[in-house]
Amino acid sequence: MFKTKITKALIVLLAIAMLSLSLMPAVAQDKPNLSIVWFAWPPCDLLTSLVAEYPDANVTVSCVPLDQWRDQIFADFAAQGGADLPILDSQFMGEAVAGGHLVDLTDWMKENLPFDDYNQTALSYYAEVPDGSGNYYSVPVITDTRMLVYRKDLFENADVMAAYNEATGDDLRVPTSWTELLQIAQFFKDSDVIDAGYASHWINSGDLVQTAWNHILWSFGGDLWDPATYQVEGVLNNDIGVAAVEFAQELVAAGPTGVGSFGFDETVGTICNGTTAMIEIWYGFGGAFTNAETCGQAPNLGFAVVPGEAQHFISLGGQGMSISAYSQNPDAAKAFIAWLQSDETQTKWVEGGGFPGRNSILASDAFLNAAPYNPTFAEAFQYVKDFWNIPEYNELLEIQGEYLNLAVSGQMDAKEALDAIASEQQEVLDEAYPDGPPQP
Amino acid sequence: MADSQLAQRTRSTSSAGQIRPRFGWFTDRWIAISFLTPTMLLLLFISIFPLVWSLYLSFTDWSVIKDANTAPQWIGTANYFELLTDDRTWQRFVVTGQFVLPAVTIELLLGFGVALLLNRKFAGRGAIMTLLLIPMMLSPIVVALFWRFMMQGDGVLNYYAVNLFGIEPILWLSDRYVAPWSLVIVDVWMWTPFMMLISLAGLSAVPQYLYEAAAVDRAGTWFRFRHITLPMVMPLLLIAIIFRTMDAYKLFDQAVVLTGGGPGRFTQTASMYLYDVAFGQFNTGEGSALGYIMLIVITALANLLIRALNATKSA
Repeated sequence: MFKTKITKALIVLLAIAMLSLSLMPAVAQDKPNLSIVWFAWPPCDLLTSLVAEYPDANVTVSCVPLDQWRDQIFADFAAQGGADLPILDSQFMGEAVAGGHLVDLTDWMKENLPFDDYNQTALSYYAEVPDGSGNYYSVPVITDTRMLVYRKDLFENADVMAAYNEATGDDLRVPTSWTELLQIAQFFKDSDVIDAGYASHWINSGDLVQTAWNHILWSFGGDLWDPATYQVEGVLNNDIGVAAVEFAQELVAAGPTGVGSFGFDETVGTICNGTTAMIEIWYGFGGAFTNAETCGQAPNLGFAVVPGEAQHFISLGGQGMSISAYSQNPDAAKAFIAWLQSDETQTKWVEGGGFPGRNSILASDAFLNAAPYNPTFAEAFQYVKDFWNIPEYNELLEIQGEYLNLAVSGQMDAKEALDAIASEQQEVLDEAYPDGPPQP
Repeated sequence: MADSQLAQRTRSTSSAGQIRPRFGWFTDRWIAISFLTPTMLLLLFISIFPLVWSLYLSFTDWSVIKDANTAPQWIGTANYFELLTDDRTWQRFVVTGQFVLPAVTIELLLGFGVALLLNRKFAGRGAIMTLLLIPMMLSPIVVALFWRFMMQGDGVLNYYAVNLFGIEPILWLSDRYVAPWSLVIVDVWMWTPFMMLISLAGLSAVPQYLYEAAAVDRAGTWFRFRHITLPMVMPLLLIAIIFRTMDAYKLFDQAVVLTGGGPGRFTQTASMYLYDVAFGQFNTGEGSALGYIMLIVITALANLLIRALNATKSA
């Protein structure tokens, strides 16, 4: 009986020891560990391969699915942990800074980085919170905007050009206005040359439908809101807004079947598989169009600047790399950012297909020669415009996406949709800012 | 001699002079408690505490992101009132109901029908049953993904629709009237085998002598089905309905991948709405309240079904 009890006691002690061992922290290493979180797309893959060369820390990159990207980062903030270096969309910055989740990098950037070499538009959109405050919370890791990808072989085909001229009286060329783009798209949709004329990601998911439509609205002369007064009603749902939605309805009608539910994959796929003549998407997806193994139409694709209309605006993309307020290695994180932003690393970044935040890199031969669409990027970037980056951004985005998706796919009246968006967004803003917009 | 020496070494003497074993306190009950305590603590921190804490938060105006450094502010039942008077909340429950009712009904009818066909011996029965069970063994995300590919505008479903049946392509995922049925189709494809399995178990348990007795009395097929098969299988069918209803009610992963809640919000179920409120807007208080509203609804529904089950058993 005594032996039995001793045995039992030893078993209990062993169980406690194993439990304790499993809770012990990992053995300290010579180099600090840094973690980055971004969403899964080609630039994240590029960053993953690039960080392997960093000598002063063990850096891991998590490329999470797009739908979980924001949730992952903010859930980590809620748990006061997560990645040391979260890469956030510009629209997330207001919310992240308001919650005290990011390190203020203003002084450090000015002392340790070529601050004046950064594209100031990008810096302001990606990093400055609030707007005009001069406080910076991230360093641009990728600048991005929208590009037009088109079937160069069809646009240069003599028979197609003749048919277009006969049908419209105009010469077939890369469109320089949205009106011209629609005309070309409708021609291709009605022809036997190809199934559809134009596609973009019109699905209500994340900011997809919004970023596909916003620059149409802005180019038509409209706006999402008045940032000075935080007024939406009467600004968004005016005649210009209605015209922009109705225009998008015609674009959707000129697209492939089911384009109303297209995400990034479907949009890339529809031009790569030869279904559609033109698409409009982020430059960051450029690598997908130059890989002949995965894109059947790669040799036939051309790249152009997204056109304007009455005005010329293109949706801003790209993200900045921030340092989490909960990072255990903030100094190591800063050192990593400095390395990433160095001339040598930025050259490797652009040669791998990345887009830089620094003007000198943007103008370099390394960038301009890295991809066939890069020469158009610099021109496109001068037209960028962003939407709200206030803490209430996500609520505003969801409201817009819900009704806009229905409207552009022809399942809701344009005016009715915009009125609903304006009303609900105004309610959100009035509740959040009962005394009016905050003063800078 | 050795035993008595050993016994002496393991005994201690209490102040009253009584001799008791040195490790007498190390009883089997103590050991049992030692092994159970970590599990109970884990259960407490993972299940009990979050339940109680979220109930408290549902009465506060707190955001885990915006108010990370401030204490929750008590606002009473304001969250519940706001949710129950918000059209959006009711719309999400309507969407959920519009999914659960047809999905479970079709799964029941199809599953039971297939079970009736399989409830006999024939060559290849085992292989056919195995093949029929495959859909429910797959990951819901994988199922939703490949159905999404098939339901694209130029996907295989429309290929056959256009070329075999000569009809216009169907907007499976982007039409507000069709997209909810796309969710139902995928769920039926995946979970009908579950209904079939439960139904088959019930059919196998029906005593054969009942059918033999009915045959002697010249009872027809319909009579045998209505008065023997159905009553005998009904308890198991109700159990299957309870399981599927509760599962369908909390549909999330398939809907997120297949439609993302779109077009608009016409396929956004209550679970997806809860995710939006709690993790999209990080409105923790309101999200907790919505979670408890959903819990009350499904508890009420489950109670109704369990009462029906008990009534069937007692009959």
